[in-house]
Amino acid sequence: MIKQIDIHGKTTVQNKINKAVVRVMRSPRQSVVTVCRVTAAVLMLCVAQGCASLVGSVTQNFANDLGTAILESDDPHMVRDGAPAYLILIDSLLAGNASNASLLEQSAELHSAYAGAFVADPERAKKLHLKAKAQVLQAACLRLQDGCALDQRPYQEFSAWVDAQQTEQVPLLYNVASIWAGWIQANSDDFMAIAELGRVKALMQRVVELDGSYANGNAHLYMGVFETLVPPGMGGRPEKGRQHFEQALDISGGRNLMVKVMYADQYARLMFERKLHDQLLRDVMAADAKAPGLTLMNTVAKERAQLLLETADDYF
Amino acid sequence: MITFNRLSLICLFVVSALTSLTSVHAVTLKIATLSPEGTGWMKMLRQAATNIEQRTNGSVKLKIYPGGVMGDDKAVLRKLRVGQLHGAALTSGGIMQPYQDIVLYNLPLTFRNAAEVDYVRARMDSKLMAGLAQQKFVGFGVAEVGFAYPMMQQPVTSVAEFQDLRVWAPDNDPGAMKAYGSFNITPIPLPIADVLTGLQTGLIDTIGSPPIGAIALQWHTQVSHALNLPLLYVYGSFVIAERAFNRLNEAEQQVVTEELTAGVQAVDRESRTDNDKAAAALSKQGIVWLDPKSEETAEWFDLAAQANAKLIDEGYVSRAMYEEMMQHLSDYRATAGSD
Repeated sequence: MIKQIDIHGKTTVQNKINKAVVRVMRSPRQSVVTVCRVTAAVLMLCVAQGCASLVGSVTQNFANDLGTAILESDDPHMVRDGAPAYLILIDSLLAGNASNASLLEQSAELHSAYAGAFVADPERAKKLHLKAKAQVLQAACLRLQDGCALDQRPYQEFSAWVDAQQTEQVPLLYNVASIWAGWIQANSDDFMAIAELGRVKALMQRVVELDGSYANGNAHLYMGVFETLVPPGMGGRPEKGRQHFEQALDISGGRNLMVKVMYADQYARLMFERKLHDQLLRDVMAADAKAPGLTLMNTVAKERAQLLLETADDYF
Repeated sequence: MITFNRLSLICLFVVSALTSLTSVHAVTLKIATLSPEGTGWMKMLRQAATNIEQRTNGSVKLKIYPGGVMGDDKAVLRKLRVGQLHGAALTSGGIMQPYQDIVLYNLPLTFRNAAEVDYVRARMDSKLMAGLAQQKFVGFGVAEVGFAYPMMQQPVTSVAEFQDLRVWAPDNDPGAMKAYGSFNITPIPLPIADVLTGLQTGLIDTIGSPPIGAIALQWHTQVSHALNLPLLYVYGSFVIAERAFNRLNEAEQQVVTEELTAGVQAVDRESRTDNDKAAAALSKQGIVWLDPKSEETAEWFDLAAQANAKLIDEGYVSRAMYEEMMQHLSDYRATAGSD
């Protein structure tokens, strides 16, 4: 059963997740291009969402059409070329509304996605991710009770706060977690950043508990990655990761091809399961990229699947 | 016709000879490590593999099994012995199975700081590698992981206070068990995989870990204090079984040695700077670094020295190596004035 996709909400988040998930991936040199492409897709979704919110009801139909066009585009490069205009637009709007939580959240999404997708210079990308993280944490501070300084307070206090969050906070919690994950990925050689991964995982786990189907089940996709970052001998929980990937597949009706790609890259490679790895990726290659709201992301997923298949003999 | 047949025959011989030559000289070394993809060790090994393959024109390849897919140190050693694997990155605790003295630097509270480590290692690393070679393993140097510091859920600095804590020790590390025994602490042995859960459930409330380990495995989320006491010096090495290494010709051995030695040295250096950064990150995360009082420090070191003497009596490491290490330390402390 394929779920109906909401262009302005869940799909955007979903694509962001894919971006962040890919960023969390290891083997940096190989993944750079893919990350960029995936994030490009994410960016498009963010643009769609941000645009819709910005222009308001007057041009709502236009925004809807734009969002649909972007999501269903199979040309990441065209999307990339159009993105900076929206970044500048939202910056100008924020200049006069620095305490507008919605604008902050949208700006954070855009900056995070753009940095991950198109910024090859690592230092510039770090700056953009840092800006995005600060903005989304500020949005949380403005909109969530006792939601300030989430990256500063002692972990036990942070953990208790996360446990107290309820279903209505899921969209913002999800955005905080995914944008924060993007910042960590951009700084994956920095122990200051790695030290905050536990917080992101706790947030994403809470999203899964409260509404695992939110954003097309992408919180499960993130959790799948988090549980497969280290091998079982070091505390990784690949079987839990596998369950999350399976749940993400179920919730998305199997139409989000990036789930299968991450399942192969994270779980199957970590566990050295060549048969599963190749099967998942062959499924992706055989599938039609066109799917409502997922065409752009799926196009990127197929490129990534091809790369993983080509390097499989070297890896296994 | 005869000429043609002879020519064919000659060609066949030449081709066969070339084929067999190629197959004899194309060696794939199967390598295992617990480190997952993306870590410093894996980046080093991948780079070394690329360099070795290029420099030997493809005659030597490294096939790497990351993330512990070949099992823990014990399983990897077994596979090295039977030839199923050819090389591995191993902890000192793992290597001590074939070569006991490799744990020399791992005796509790032997070193007071990194400068002491550097002084001793500059004089003794090569001896450890020579000892390893006698046990039929080619070692490519010592790679630091870092000093393990006690980290706990309450502010504790004295030996007596620690005896009341639930202290974790790795279940496969006799060195750590012995280290805690030195202080009459009875540790709770657990596999590394269970430490985070152990801290969360209260099964244990104290760990000993280098800062990079505590952060990479997110153990730091479950502790509030760290004690500025360099309890154990943790390190590893990269080894290739002699039998596999001897399948390479002299030039290939040279290339492999150069690349892997340089790689291990790079990992060694990076660990030092990473631990400095990780220690600062712990502070930023709100973990308080405690300094034991001078009399408490003296008690920790005195107990360790007594325990180490006993370990030497029991033959834990050879007396000659231990005494040489202590002499170097004594020399260093006399000149550096740190004693």
